[in-house]
Amino acid sequence: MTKHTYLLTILCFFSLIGPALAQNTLDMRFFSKLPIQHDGRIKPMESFARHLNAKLQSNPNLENQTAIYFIAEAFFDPAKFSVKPLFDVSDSKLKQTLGLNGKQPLFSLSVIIPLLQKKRSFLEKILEKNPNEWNETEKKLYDLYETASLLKSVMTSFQIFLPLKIPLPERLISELNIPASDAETYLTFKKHEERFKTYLQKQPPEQIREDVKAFLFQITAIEQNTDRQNFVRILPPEWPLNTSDEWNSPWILINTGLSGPESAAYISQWERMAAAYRDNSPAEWRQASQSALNHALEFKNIDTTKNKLNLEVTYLTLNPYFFTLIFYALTLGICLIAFMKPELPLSILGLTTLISGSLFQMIAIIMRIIILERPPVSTLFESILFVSLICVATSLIMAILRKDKTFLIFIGALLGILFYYLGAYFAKSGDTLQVLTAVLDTSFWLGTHVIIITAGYGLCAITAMVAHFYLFKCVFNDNNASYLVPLTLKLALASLLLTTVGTILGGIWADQSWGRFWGWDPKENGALLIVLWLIWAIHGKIAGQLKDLGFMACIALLNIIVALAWFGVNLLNVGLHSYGFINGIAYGLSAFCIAEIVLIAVLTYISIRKFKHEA
Amino acid sequence: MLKKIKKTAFRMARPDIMFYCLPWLMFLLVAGTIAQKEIGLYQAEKIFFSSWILWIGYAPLPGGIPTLGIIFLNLAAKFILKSRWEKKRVGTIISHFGILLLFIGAIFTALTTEEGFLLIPENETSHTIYDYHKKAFYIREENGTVYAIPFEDMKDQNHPISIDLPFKITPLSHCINCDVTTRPSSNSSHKGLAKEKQLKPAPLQNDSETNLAGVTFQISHADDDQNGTYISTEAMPSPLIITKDARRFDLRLQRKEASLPFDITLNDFVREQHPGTDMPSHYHSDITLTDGEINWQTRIDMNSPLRYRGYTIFQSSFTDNEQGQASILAVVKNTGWLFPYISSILIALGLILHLIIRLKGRYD
Repeated sequence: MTKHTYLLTILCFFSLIGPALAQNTLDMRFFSKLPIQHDGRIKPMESFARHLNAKLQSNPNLENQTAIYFIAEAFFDPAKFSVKPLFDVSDSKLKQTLGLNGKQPLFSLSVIIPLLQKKRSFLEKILEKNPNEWNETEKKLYDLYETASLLKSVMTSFQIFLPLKIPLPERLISELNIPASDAETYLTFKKHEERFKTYLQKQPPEQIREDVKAFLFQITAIEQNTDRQNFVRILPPEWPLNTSDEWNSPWILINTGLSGPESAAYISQWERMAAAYRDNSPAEWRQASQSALNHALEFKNIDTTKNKLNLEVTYLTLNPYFFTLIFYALTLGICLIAFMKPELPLSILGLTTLISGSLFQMIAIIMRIIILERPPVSTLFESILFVSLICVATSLIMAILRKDKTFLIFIGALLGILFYYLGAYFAKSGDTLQVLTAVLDTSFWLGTHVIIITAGYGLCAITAMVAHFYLFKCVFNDNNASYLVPLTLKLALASLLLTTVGTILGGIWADQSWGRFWGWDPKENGALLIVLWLIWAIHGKIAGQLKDLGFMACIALLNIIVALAWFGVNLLNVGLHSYGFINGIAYGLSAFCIAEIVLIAVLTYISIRKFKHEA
Repeated sequence: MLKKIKKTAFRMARPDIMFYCLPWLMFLLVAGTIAQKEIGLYQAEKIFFSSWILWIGYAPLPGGIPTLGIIFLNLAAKFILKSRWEKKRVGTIISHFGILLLFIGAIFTALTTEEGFLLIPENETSHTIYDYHKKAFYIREENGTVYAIPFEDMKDQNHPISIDLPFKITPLSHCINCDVTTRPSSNSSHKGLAKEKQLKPAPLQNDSETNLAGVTFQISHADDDQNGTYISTEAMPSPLIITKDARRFDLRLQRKEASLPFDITLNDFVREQHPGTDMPSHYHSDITLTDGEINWQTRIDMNSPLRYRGYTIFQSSFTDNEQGQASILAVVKNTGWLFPYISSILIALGLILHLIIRLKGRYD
């Protein structure tokens, strides 16, 4: 058996006799705000917990369990955590690869880790291959391995101060003159380790008793499992000579001798929390976690503030996007009623709900700006949030200025909802509050080029939706829809302005970073494609090559051009914009493009026939 | 004649030329972008964007250069001959002028740009720029004389290269990307690495910088033990040495070199990572630029290049190995670098004015 199997076997065994905990009753307010360094920044524990929870999103049982309780259990009651059915292995091929039988879909860490250990050589072979060449089962196996390793790291992070499951025999306690309280945890026992080793060296191996062997085995297992783990970085550098801004896990700090009085005091706060958690004592837990938070915020080198930690926890727990969705959905409903009953004065109500939704969205974006200390658009996920807001804001401005409010409010709400779900798709893979690669380390260009080009995407989306509305009106409505053409032309011009300026600014940024204004990189080509499409449609309309219907159909197709430029080029994995590469959206994108082409072609064809018939 | 020119110019100004050229340009753009996945950016650029003719099977179709050329001429003719110089058209005129300026800048850049990179280890000085793509066969004499034979001239010529050397070099073959394979049978005429290995053309790599260029050539009129067939690739760690009449020559295939008119010393290269991760957060090079009497200590940052005497020097990459860290600085000399800055202002201004005029409803 391997070292992992040993440890997990111990943990599983003792989990059966572990305390019955009902920790969901504990107050997590302070614990959720404890700072931790993860993925290159200081974040609250809530954020870290959600990141880990997202890794197990396919497990339906975790939906109702909040992430913070999940992480607390992993930290303070690893035995119970290790037997929890967390991993969804419902895929039959993956099951077969792992040698699992039966229909049971969920498995615990204690089952998965030994199986993965057996598959080590197979995993090594997978890792030798290019990830693009992995088949589905290999991908799933690797993901499982990665998540299981991560959770094992988390689970073993605080073992150093959790009660030892196998006690040091009492006769040895008195023989070695170790205080009984020091034999309770690995951390306190460590002080007497030399004495213990000397005792063992003096004993002939055959005379070492089984209970001592078991205790020794337990100590070795803990050391083997935690000696390289530095995932749970809760301790900032303490000594003035340590100029690194890297935080460390308690184990690493103790092992490297970098621990100081401040760290020791903070670790003891964590020990107190662990004890309170295991005793299921709400009052003690509350006090211990509050005291730990106060202590953490007094660290000299902590590169964050209480307000920022509070804000991030509020952002995560409040989830302003949910309210955004509710208000946009309400707006959509109001608009649909207004379409059916035009005599009802519902536009002001629709306008109010749309404004409310957009306010929540704006609040979310502002919160992100403060938390991450950078302009609002730096990642693909953020671009979706921003484009959504631009669409809603544009529709609001137009609705306020124009008489035909309902359809503009409708378009704004519809785009807001569509982008909400698109954003949710990108957010489901984990943390959306990420640090940026070196080339993006520039607030000036993120605040100019990126903002302008994404605002251009937003305007293009709303322009294309107005064109869709025109086509629908031509097919389903007897009224003349031509009044929408001048509006579309103006919107197309505004889109052209933003996309052209955004593209040129991108070129200037490339000139500053990479030494060339234009390099025919896919991302650059995508932006240029939008500009060319708009120039072509606008000039075609102005010069008379495109009639109203042709122009509007071309503008409706702008949706596809934007989708390809925005997401499609990232699928190629080519060029210098490597920070934007994504996988797994090819089918969705293709389906969207095909559906749009078919829809626009059908609507245009019916409109042509209708016009001919009327003529 | 003048009438004919005028007529042609007016025909050139027709808006339908743009209307039919733009879809073709968009096709080239899409095809060239998708092709990058298979053939890499460098090849795709050559085939689709910087080409005169795009061959699809046996069908010659207009490449990027003629397509962009026609659009430029159409826009220029339209701008000069058909612009309506009215107040309400001011936005259109300014934005069209901005686009023309962008085209002119692109022509300047295409014709005059020199680019390459400097690789400087810490505490060392260099002025040598290496080309990203072009290769050359270098012959260096001990006294400092350097002969550079363009890689393209190293193909099978069946006659010696005409350089004033005490021995003759006759190129036999070259490959842009070579497979170095074991020679099935060797004879006494094969010398050096060629005794055991031979070069075979291999498919081009997607990333042109990863191609392994190589040449096979013959040396004659040297000493008998040195006359024979040799191979040389970029990856060879040391040059081939030929001595004749007490003169020593180093021969090697390498990236094409050029010299900066000043020296750069790398004092320190700093690479920072986001704490606790392998993700880079920042790079910079602290350098000293020496140009005659001038000794300028400065920093080259990501997104903040150094501009000096027409050269722009950027933080591009780095190497980190047992010998220590070295900074890779991209060097570009582009006389047209200012055009995009001016044209972007003009285009933005023109479009804003045009939009305002439209919104005010003053447009016909």
